[in-house]
Amino acid sequence: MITRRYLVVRTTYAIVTAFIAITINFLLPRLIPGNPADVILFANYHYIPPGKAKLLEAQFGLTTNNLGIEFYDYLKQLFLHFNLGLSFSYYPATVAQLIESHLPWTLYLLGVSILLSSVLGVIVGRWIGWRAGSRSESVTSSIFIGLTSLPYFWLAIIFILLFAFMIPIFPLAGSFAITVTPGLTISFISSVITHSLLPIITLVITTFPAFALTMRNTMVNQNKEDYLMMARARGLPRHVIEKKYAARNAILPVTTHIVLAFGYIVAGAFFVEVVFSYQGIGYLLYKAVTSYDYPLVDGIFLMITITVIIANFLADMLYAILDPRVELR
Amino acid sequence: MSEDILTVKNLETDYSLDNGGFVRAIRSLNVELQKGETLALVGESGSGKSTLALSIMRLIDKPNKIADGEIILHDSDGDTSILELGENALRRIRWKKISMVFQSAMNILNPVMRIEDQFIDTFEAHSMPGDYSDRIDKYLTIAGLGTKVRRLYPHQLSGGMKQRVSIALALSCEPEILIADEPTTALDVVVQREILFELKQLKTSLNLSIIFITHDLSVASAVADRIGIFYAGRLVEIGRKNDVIAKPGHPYAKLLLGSIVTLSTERGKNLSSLEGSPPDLSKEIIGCSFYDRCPSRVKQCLSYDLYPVEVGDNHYVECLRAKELLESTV
Repeated sequence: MITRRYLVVRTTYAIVTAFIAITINFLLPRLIPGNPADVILFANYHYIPPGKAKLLEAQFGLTTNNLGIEFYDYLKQLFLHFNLGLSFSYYPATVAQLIESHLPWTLYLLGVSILLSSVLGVIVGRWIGWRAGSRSESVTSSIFIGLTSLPYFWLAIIFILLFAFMIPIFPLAGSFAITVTPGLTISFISSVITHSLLPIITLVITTFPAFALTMRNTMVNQNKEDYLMMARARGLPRHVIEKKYAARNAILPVTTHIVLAFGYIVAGAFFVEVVFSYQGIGYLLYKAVTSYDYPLVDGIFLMITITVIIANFLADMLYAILDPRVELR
Repeated sequence: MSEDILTVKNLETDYSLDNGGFVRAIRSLNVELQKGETLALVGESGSGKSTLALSIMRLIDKPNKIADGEIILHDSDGDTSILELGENALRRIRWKKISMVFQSAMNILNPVMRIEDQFIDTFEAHSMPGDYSDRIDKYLTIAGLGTKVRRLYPHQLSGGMKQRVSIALALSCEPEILIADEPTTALDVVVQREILFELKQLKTSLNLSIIFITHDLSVASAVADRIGIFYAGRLVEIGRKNDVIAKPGHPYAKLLLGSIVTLSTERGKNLSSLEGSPPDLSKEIIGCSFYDRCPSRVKQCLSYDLYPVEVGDNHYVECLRAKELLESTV
């Protein structure tokens, strides 16, 4: 049950976490050695003209050498103007523009993958958990244990090799074919779907087995619960016991597992984007980090953080709906 | 003699051990429950009382098993052999004919379902007639709870309230037999007294036959018509309440009764105590299982092929020297 108090406290937690994350996100890239102005100039002139370096640094706001003032400016721009600054490497594009054009791709990839792997994990886990001890169950469980140990990027490379290169049924890279124009047309949408299939399959295959195994184990443990014996003593049909008693209770720890795995899946999605040259946030982040693009790195980290915080907040709400015992302690 | 409603014949129930062996928790047990009576089964922990309850409900799970015996329900539908029923037929007997109040009510209700929903799915499972809502209110009231409880979740109830809910649930499908497995052990004495009193009243008003399992002889004497004494998986003595309490025939029963403190116990009187521990049930026991601890043992006890000796009207004792011992005390 979501009580008013629960909502208020959870929201406060989310806001405080977001602020701490913003602070850390501001600090981290500034601790990386190197100077973005030098990088840009070196890339263009193959040496660093001193006057030009000063000019660029001034434009990027890197003159004060005072983190406090930079942080204050950063917060002011962020909260008053939603201004995340200019990208160093995609100059003169703004960070906000870059995120805006890349974020939907990542949200699509992540959203579909998380949804699919959670649903699949719960359904398959419930099925094997209720049949624990049978031959089909032990075979499935062993395969799943193997699948959980596959790294995302490795599987992604193997998939590209197999299904895009050796047997070219899927496109090699990108998020849609260069021959189609973006828009709400059938050719564009189908191109987007075919380009996203391999990345999504990679993510789902590497994440859902862990959920399924958790679900399996909690289903097995349900058999030891008094309420399950009581349900059998009450003469309830087997399918009712499985659904309303075993699975309904087993889903609670699985929800926690999925929420905890959230950050891991986000990281996985980024790797997968890089391998598939999929134009999402992960790919953008990779570019930004390799070119000392402080504002872009900052903006992306902020984006990721906010997304994960929002997702956690929603998960808290979901948990309160699923488990009536969830209250504030 | 009144009519029997449940007969247990030669029941043997085994708990399997990790090393491949097993513990025989019930050893060729014979008992019958008469229509409308309360039969209290008394014994120490591990004597097999709860195992008997679970065997009757057929809640003994693999790898544990009911190795031998018969459990027969006699009711309006004729005789039903419970151990031979298929899954579906068994499902229909459970709760509708024989229901049960479990020892610990703490975790017995599904934590994520409202109380009323747990009643409703029971009713649906047995296609109960009538308005479910009225039925829930009726049995919650009978169990001494307010009807507001139906909208609550189990974690919002106290231990005593949960036990009352489980009693209400157990009665709600109008069973003929109620097995109460230490229903009040986890509760404080005040609640215990209330619940015992209610059970006693319900038995008459609902025409129930009750098997009441307890380790507490004073509770047994408060509720029972007949008392059976359990020891090491066997029923060593059974008879009418007053006969068993006033003239226990089995040495174990005597010692058990002698160990009770009552308000009328004289000061300074020594309570009886029992040396040693019950026999290892994973081994075969030859002769009387109480032999090692028995103050009245003789050599012949070890070769005694156990059978109940009738020492009084409907009073049976599984002891070779039962008659002799009873006469010597008189």
